[in-house]
Amino acid sequence: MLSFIGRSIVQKMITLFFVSVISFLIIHLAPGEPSQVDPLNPKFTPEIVERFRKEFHLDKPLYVQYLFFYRGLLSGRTVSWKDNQPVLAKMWERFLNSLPLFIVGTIITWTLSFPIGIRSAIFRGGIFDRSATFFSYFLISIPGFFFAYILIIFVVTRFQVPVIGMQTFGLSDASTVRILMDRVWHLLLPSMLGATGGIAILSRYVRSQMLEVEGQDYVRTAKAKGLSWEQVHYKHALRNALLPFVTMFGLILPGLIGGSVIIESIFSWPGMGRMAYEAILARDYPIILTVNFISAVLVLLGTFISDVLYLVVDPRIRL
Amino acid sequence: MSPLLSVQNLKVYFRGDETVARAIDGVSYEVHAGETVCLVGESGCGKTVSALTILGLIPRPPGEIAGGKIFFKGRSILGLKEEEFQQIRGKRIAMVFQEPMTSLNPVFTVGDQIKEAIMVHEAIADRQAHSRCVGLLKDVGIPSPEERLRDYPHQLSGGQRQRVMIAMALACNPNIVIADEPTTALDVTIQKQILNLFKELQKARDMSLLYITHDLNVVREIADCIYVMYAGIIVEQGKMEDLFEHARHPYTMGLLASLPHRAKRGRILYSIPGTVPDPAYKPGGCPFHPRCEHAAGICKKEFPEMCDYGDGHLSRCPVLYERTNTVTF
Amino acid sequence: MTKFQPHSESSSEAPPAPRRTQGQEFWRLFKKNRLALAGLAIFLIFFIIAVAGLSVTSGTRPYFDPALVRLPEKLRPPLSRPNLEVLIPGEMPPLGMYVFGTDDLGRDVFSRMLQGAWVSLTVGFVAVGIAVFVGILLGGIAGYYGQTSITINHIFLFCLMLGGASAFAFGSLFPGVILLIAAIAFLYRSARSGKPAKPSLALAWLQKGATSVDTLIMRFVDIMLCFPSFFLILTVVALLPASIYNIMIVIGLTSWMGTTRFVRAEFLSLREQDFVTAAKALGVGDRRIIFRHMIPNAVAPVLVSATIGIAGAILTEAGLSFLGFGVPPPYATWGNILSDGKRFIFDAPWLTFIPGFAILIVVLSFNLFGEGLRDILNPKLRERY
Repeated sequence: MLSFIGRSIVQKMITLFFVSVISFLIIHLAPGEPSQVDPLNPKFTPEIVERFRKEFHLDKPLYVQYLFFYRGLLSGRTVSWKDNQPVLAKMWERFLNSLPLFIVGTIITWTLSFPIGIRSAIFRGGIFDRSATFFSYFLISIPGFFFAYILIIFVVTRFQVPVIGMQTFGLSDASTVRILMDRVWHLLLPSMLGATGGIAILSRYVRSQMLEVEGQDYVRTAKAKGLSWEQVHYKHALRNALLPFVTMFGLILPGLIGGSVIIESIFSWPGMGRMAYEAILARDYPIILTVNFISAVLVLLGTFISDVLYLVVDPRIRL
Repeated sequence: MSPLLSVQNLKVYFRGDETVARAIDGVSYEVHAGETVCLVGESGCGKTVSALTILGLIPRPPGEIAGGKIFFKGRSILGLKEEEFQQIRGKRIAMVFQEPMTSLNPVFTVGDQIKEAIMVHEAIADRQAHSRCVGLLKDVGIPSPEERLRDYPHQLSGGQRQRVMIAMALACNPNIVIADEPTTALDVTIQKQILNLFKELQKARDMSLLYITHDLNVVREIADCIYVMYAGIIVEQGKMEDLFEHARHPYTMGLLASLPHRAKRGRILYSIPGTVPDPAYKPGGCPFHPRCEHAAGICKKEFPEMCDYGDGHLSRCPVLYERTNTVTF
Repeated sequence: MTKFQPHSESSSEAPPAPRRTQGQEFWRLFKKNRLALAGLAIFLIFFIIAVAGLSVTSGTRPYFDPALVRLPEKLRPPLSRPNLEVLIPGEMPPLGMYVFGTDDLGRDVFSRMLQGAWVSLTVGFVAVGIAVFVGILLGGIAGYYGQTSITINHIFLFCLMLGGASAFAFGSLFPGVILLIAAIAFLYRSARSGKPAKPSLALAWLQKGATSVDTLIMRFVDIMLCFPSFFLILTVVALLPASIYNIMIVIGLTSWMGTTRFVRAEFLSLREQDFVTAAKALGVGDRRIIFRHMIPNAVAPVLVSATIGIAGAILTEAGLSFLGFGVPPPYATWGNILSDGKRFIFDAPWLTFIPGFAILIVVLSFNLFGEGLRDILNPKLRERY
């Protein structure tokens, strides 16, 4: 067990190193320059550009730049090129904005897709199953931004509530309930949109897992023992079908940072996704690289957690 | 004496998109108390389906029961509701399946699974159930049962798992145990052990055993009565010795002739030509006629009736029946 | 008992079990799956429209001109007749009306949709083509040659060549040439001697296996999976000059990992199967085994994921266009028609809804078709229904 964890950590460190190298190379070898040091930018004189270049170590060879950047990142001293703010502090602020979206979205996803998937599998071929199947294809296929506009039009014309942004301006002297409801309204739509794809994919996955298990011999054994319908499906079948999902708890971690660039820019939600998008537009390399690096860390952490969880829940795996 | 279990003219069909697979097409058999009955036939002839039907475990759809009756202790059980079936399953009629490797739930301990089988039917305390489990494992010949109860199925060997399955089936002292090829997936040496276990248990507990197999050597070991199935119908039935000594149906004869120890040394071992027909496309008349060396013109046209040879020995081959009668008289 | 007559003529009136070829069986199952059939039909229609759309919207004087600006005629609703007084004869919409209306510059949305269809189609196919090609290549190598170990001298050689090439690329010609020459010499030596019969003890460590091809490729897959994919695509597309080809290549190069994984898995299991062993025992060469025996068997799951991948690629391209990256204007794509139209969502909802529904329907058809294929090609799933 310990050796498994140790090996896995070493492996993930190596992977992380290569990720950092590759993302660094992609950014720096791409044609074009950050706007601060672009010689064509009329705002800056050549002297200022030269000063910027020196300050950002852009005059050094690539591998030195690489070392400088990751030393700065790991010691927390990296600053954004655009506004000279520390990258990590800036990200933390945006992260706190994205967090409610992520949490509400995840809760919606998981609480909806499990009942839907399980019900579809148990009554496969029935009306519920077929409509759930079609509906999930529909949700997978609809472009998020299009769906967002449909929902915005619907909600705004129907309920007359504002949904753009995190809250309505000029509400600060209203009652607490009013402010709270305002926040909830603003939160609900983008997190639902963020959840749509997840619901569709996860419920299909739950369904196929459940179908797989329902066909197993031990489910027949459980029936032959005289167990009730609920015990057969919800104890014997579901317990086995759930095994792979325990691992997915780890895999939702990367969603923390990825957020949704598109959803956040439609709703003017000042979260991580929007920050990343703005950084790309401004060629703010430190932020782009940090977002990339942290999300790689989260992916690796997520797979690590899911591996460990699997060890814990599946009695067949013993190291 | 009325039989404990009686299956009468049972028909089970599976509906496909364009076809109907007649998996069981009018099967009747009886199991008396304390008796071991064997259902014999090639794979795909409907043995397992008939057993699953008794417990109401046929998936519907695509399966459907097209006709017939099943009586258990004189009570018709075919149309029972799911909840009523649950009272019978495991408690009155228990089943042991073919694949011990996959028939136990991998995420529960052996103890949990046996205990569950007891607790679902009897209101007893957890401790009592536990000691019953220990006793059951002892009965089925598993050493150090206390520790084994805490094991997960994957920690046991195939033979041990099948013993656990048997213990689970015996948990509520059922009147009948249906064993569906319980030894097929096991090593030859283990097969013998499990078979002996069945014989002992059946004697000791005075229960009935409905044993489903394709292996005539097994049948010879344990059967009181034999029903030979082919393509969803019973082609011959009778007492074990009777059937082995005086087989009256070409199919039974063929099966017996293909047993290795019966053949003369130096001869090529007999095998029945052809293959079992697809249940969706059975030949008309006698379903065996394309493979039968005694087939006459009538076999293609008319479905054969059962011919009585006395003492419960019936065979579904009028052609041979007429031939023996002309010889005898 | 040992003799028997042939029974061929005896099965008289019994209906014989119909024998179908694989293709017929496939088609029979496919026809049953109505959703998949609808998917295929829509896909074919879309294909025809896209190809026809390309031919009528391109050229110097296209029949449907997607770029023709008619400022007086802006934001006309669908099916409205053109106002003949403000148009010169060359500006008439082809069908005598604006079938899908006009946008804020008075361009005919129908023509722009036709042009956009071709963009969606090519992006989907080319991107997935790249992904499938890379996926099969790497997955096949990992699965088939995976156990071949990479020895230290391979790594050494690789470092030499990489060092040489990069030195060359960064302008220091002399060290680059030296390193490259060294590498070629090294390669030549090991190629000529084939397997060195007995390397001297001092050099024996060079032949030691350090890792295997399989590990290398699968680690690379892990690395690629660490990148947040839409963000990565967005970054690269934003940094590269705007062009439709860049989008295709970038989407393709960031979505091959799944294909690699299951081609490898498929190859690993196929390798162990008897027909491959039998082919090897007959002395069939590697290349023939791979192309004749293994790829045809692995192609079904690849086809399924490719179909679904096309849907994903079309969505990604639409998303990029929506954010304003990718295909440079005035070239129309469904994503940028929608993106331009979103400002007029209350005044001219057709600018949002027409491209939105077009994307939805096309992506849905690919998804349904792909899932239908998966159900049919997966015999385990088939039995269960």
